[in-house]
Amino acid sequence: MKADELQALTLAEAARLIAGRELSPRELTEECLERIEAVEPKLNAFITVTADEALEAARRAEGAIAAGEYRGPLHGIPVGLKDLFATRGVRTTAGSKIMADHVPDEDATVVRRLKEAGAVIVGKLNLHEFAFGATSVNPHYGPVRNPWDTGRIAGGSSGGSAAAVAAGECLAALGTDTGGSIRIPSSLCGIVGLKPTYGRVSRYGVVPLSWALDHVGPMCRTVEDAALVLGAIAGADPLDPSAADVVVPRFESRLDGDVKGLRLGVPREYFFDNVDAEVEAAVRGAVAVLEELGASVREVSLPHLEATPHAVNAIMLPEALAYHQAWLKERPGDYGEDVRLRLELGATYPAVHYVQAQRTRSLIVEEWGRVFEEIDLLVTPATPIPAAAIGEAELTTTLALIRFTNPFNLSGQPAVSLPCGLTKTGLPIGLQLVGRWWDEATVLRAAHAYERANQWHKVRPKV
Amino acid sequence: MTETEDPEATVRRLTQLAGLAVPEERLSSLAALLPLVQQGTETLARLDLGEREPAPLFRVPGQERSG
Repeated sequence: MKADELQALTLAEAARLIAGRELSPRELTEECLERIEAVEPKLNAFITVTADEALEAARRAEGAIAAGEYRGPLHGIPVGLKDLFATRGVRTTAGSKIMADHVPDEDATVVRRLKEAGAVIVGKLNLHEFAFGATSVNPHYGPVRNPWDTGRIAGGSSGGSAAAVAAGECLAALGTDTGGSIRIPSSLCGIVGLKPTYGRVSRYGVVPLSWALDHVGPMCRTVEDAALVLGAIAGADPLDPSAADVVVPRFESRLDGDVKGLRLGVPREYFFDNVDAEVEAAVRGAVAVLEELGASVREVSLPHLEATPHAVNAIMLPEALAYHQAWLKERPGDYGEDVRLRLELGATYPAVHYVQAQRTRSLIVEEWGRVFEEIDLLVTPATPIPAAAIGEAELTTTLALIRFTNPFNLSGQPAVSLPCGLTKTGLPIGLQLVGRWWDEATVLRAAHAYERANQWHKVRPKV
Repeated sequence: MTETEDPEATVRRLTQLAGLAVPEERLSSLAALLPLVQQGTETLARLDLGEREPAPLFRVPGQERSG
């Protein structure tokens, strides 16, 4: 196949060709590695490229498939990992100077599962330092640049994952999401990013930001691809007590394009306050599309929304400080300024505030659960603004970017961001769909129906 | 934080309690963020949490896991 044809493939399309022996994993991996070499000087999405290991894995995949040992849709597929997933024998920096030379001796559970599924790991992706920020402007490894406009941020903290997928450096990536770190960069880079239900995917071997809020999920070009990756990484894990023993459906089998009868809720408050006009128009347009496809739409109110950012901070900041306390005492100068400030701020939260935040979590799970008896999905913008310029006020940008995503880290509900338009200046806009706990299938089904109707996923950045 | 305490003194005291030695020149940046913490405390304190317990995190070994 020609390079541009390979570049245009989604994970699912490549998998079908590989399964039919019409495409070689080695050819696909070589194309991704060439693409990495070509665009990395512009994007800085990778911290470590594992070219030799990837070619060896692709060669093994090719041999296994030729011998009739096809493992499934990830077999032979080039995948990138945010650089806070432990990878045996490959350094895992967490985007930090502190862990710059850290080489784990075992894989994170999700990495092991990807490898068992036959995925080809092409490298470790740049991120906001220790995943503690939403811009991916990294003081140690340089900023991740947005493929749609390299003067702008990719969003974060999984910025390298989003930029690499959007630019065709890999066919899928893994990210983590504590306040929006999968959905924000997915929105800003025009890809599909899914934060599953809390407990759906193991966090074992993932450098934590906040144990109570961290989620692992797929970042891909299409909804079908996200469904395939989620299926490969989800499920109980004896090494992570929060990873629940809940049945993992074949998510991709539910993508039938049908949303007839689905009940969508559009928030009356909060999610359309202080939103960029083009973002609001695109999201309201997406709601109209879903309605035309057969969904019903009603306005809803989520109680206590104003409290959720405070509760998130009261949990995240002290937990982050607890993890970093020893390093922060011994090596404070090795942290970037913004991350150091946030960690130090964690010391100012009284213990009672942390406990009240966890009680608030119980309250909103109960009360939002009642709202979700009346609707199947909530529809919101993923971010209130498109990608900001690199160097714009970091704190202001971060506070804006996390507003619509972090409520669902507190509730633990599944939420996806998918492309729903471009601004006049050509920047992606993200639509967020939020579902009931453990009902990723409905989130993905509606997202897939919208994607099929609009084809935004086929519009690619010209890097 | 007491009503009369200097915000920088509050930050110094709280970070010291957490075992951190924050240099004097950094205290003002942190002190500027204290109103956000205070606002959060007040917002959460206004909620009627009733008898609700904190969301559980701790699981004893062998406890049956469920969704």
